[in-house]
Amino acid sequence: MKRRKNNWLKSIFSSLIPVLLAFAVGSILIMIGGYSPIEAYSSLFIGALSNQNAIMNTLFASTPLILTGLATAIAFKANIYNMGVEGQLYLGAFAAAYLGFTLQGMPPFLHVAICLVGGAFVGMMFALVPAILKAFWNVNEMVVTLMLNYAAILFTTYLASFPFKAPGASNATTVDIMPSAELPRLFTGSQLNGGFIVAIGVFVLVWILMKKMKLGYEMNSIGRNNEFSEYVGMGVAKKIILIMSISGIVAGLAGVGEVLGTHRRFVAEFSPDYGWTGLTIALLGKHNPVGVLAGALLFGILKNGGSSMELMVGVPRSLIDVIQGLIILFLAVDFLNNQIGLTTKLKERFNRRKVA
Amino acid sequence: MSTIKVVNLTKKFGDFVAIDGMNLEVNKGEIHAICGENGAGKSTLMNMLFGLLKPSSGQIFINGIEMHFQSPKEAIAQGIGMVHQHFKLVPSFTVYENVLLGEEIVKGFKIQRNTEYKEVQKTIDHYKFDLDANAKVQDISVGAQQRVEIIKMLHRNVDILILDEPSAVLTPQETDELLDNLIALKKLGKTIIIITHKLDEVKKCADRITVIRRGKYIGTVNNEGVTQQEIARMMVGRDVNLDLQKVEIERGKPILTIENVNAYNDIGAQILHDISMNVHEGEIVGIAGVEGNGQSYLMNALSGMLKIHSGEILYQNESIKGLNPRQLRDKGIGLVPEDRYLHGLNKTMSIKENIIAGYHWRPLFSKLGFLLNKEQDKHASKLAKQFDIRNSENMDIEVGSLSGGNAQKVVIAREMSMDPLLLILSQPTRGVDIGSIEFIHQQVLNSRKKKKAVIVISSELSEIMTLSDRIYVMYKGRIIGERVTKETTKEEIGVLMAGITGEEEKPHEEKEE
Ligand SMILES: Nc1ncnc2c1ncn2[C@@H]1O[C@H](COP(=O)(O)OP(=O)(O)OP(=O)(O)O)[C@@H](O)[C@H]1O
Ligand SMILES: [Mg+2]
Repeated sequence: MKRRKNNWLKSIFSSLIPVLLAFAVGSILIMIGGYSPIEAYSSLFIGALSNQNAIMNTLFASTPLILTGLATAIAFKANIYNMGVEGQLYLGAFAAAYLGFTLQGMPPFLHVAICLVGGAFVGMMFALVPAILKAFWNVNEMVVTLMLNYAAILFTTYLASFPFKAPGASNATTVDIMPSAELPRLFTGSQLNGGFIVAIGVFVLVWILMKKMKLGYEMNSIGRNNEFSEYVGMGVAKKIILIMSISGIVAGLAGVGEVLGTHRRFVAEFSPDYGWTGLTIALLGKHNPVGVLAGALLFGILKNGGSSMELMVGVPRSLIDVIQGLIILFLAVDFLNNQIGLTTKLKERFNRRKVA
Repeated sequence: MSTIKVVNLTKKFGDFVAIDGMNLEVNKGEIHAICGENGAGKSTLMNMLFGLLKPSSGQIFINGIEMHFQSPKEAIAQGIGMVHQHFKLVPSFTVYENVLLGEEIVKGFKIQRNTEYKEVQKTIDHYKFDLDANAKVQDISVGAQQRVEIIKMLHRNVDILILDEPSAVLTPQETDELLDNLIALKKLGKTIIIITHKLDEVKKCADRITVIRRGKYIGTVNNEGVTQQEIARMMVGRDVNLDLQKVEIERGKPILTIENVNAYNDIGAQILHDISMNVHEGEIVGIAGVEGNGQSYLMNALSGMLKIHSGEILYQNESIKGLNPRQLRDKGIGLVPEDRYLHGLNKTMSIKENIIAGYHWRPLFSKLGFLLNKEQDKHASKLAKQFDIRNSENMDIEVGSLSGGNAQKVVIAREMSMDPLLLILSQPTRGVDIGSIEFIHQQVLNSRKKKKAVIVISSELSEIMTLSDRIYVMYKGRIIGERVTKETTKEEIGVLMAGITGEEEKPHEEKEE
């Protein structure tokens, strides 16, 4: 038991390092700009967490990231590189919007449920393409999912620009969804809406799946040793399809939540890279649902607090993007370190010099 | 003076003491064998001498000077080389490139390939090894690959050579060759430490033998004047009986019948030729053969991992051709694969998770898609006790941190725990200590007593001879002979293993290729 706990602390620690390093480098940049890093960062956190409203907005900003982070983590856990969360999100979003504005006279609860199921289903179907190619023909899923992102984004942009363009709209958007399909706001004065409840619900389900269920055990096993998993009869090909489907469902739901809760219609290219940020979060959270939740909240804080940092201290909001970029960079270093033992090699070299 | 002296050395992993106040002296120019059960700490001790692990306390003296190695590089600089059981060679590189890996001979920016080749070949010739410096590693036999590893060390001018279970991967002929090489090296003044579970090898080559048990030093004896039985007793702490008594059992109806099975590999070469065999209730059938004669393919075909091109496999009169491993397990077939860490275990998962794998979907362990944690725990602790898996008080630690033999016991325990009607074991006791071999063999015999059918694939002839009622011999992907154990001799099987049938027929040639 003791060793388990240690591992736990260790992985939290190793997730914190890239974040702390990114903040450290960020503070150098702030100083170069002639501001005080302490003031800047404290205004960032105050802006994101100081009052109820601020917290609501942080949670609002985190909502899609929780889902895209989980979608990525589910696949990565089984060593399946689903890089197509962004595309799955777009298709799920469009499907939800379509169902939202075409179905008329529905009771609200049912309408929302139909949109959720529809968006999730489309996300799943889209994830099935690379999954089947990988499972049966061993086609690299990383390449396929990456390419399909472009297809999905361009296709939905086309749909919103021509066949389903709202009459008279100046940009590529569809008409608004029916009020019955809207995910209601939870409190007045904040954009936080039912999408957050959906995200938390999905989080709980994914946690149960990964920690308590047979499939979670098999995901873990497949991720660690494919050959072994096949040999003990896990039927890896079928499991790849199943796992990718679940990942696609969660990615689709991320898109549904944005449409039903935030935009209330489909807006072409609405996602500020939710899928890619989700990937960063999944890596930061070590493919662990709790880690993903924490990572999504952190990124929500950065996003929400960024504007108050700009307002109160004057540090440009784009610093947030820089910090996010730095987190990715340090994550990559960490990744390389795990893969090729960078620090051990450096240590060895250093020691050798000491001896010589 | 002793060239290696270890004083009161201790190594802890967390709370667990793997090496406990160890003392060891190795004389210059001797072959020193280290014997001990699985998990005794042999590899741990050697890894400390080679700078791979740092001692928790105690001292290591090399030629009288105390050492604190930080890395293998420093150990090599002090003349200590080690060859691991799992080779670390680059298959697509030539022998000389592998030998010089990391120490290429460079002039300006150019690697001096010609000089490199000559230098390495000179070393090979100096030690009279059978090796071509220009050959690609992927094209040479396992035995030759091991010689590359040894040359790699000798080329760096080490005086002390440590070999951790070097014969575990070798055929009997290759083992003999290795032992001859080691004796020759000794004559050239090298000091050699060899870890092995095979006491006949120890008897053949060692000058002195040190036995360790559960991390503690038990004693050092001269090879002359000590018997294998005595070494075994020092290792295990009790008498070991390797000549198991087999009770007479009336064999029952056939369980598995294989008829004319043929199989091809990815590039279309035939790997199994017309295999026919059977095994009955209450019978142990051995499949003998020098490694690499198709036994692995046969195992894969029987495990549902290799597609059969033609022929039939009948299990209880029902075809099981094309079934996947899960379906096979559900029909009551237990499978112990040859490669422990590739197919047998998931190294970075816990003992508990490993010990239910392949059976985790049974109602015993899961309900409505949920795993039953308590049942798993109970099952795992029960098996750990029943199969004497050492140092496994904590079922949550990674299987990879168990010693080789104990890891194998996890696989055996898992497959036997479901009481399979047919048990297929491939190389079941590779790298396993004699005490555990006795135990595993006993378990196999118990299955037979319970009227189960067992197939044992092994390149260890003595294992085949003690366990089997009937023996098939494989050679170049075919079965070239079948014998009833009671009516044959070790010698006769050995001759068959070399591909000599003695019948008036043309020797089997590879038509394909
Ligand atoms: N990194 C590690 N972490 C925890 N325990 C370890 C680690 N490495 C080894 N052990 C434990 O130390 C003990 C000694 O292991 P070691 O590998 O030295 O045994 P061995 O004598 O070489 O056995 P075998 O003959 O099976 O190879 C074992 O009980 C093993 O579980
Ligand atoms: Mg060992």
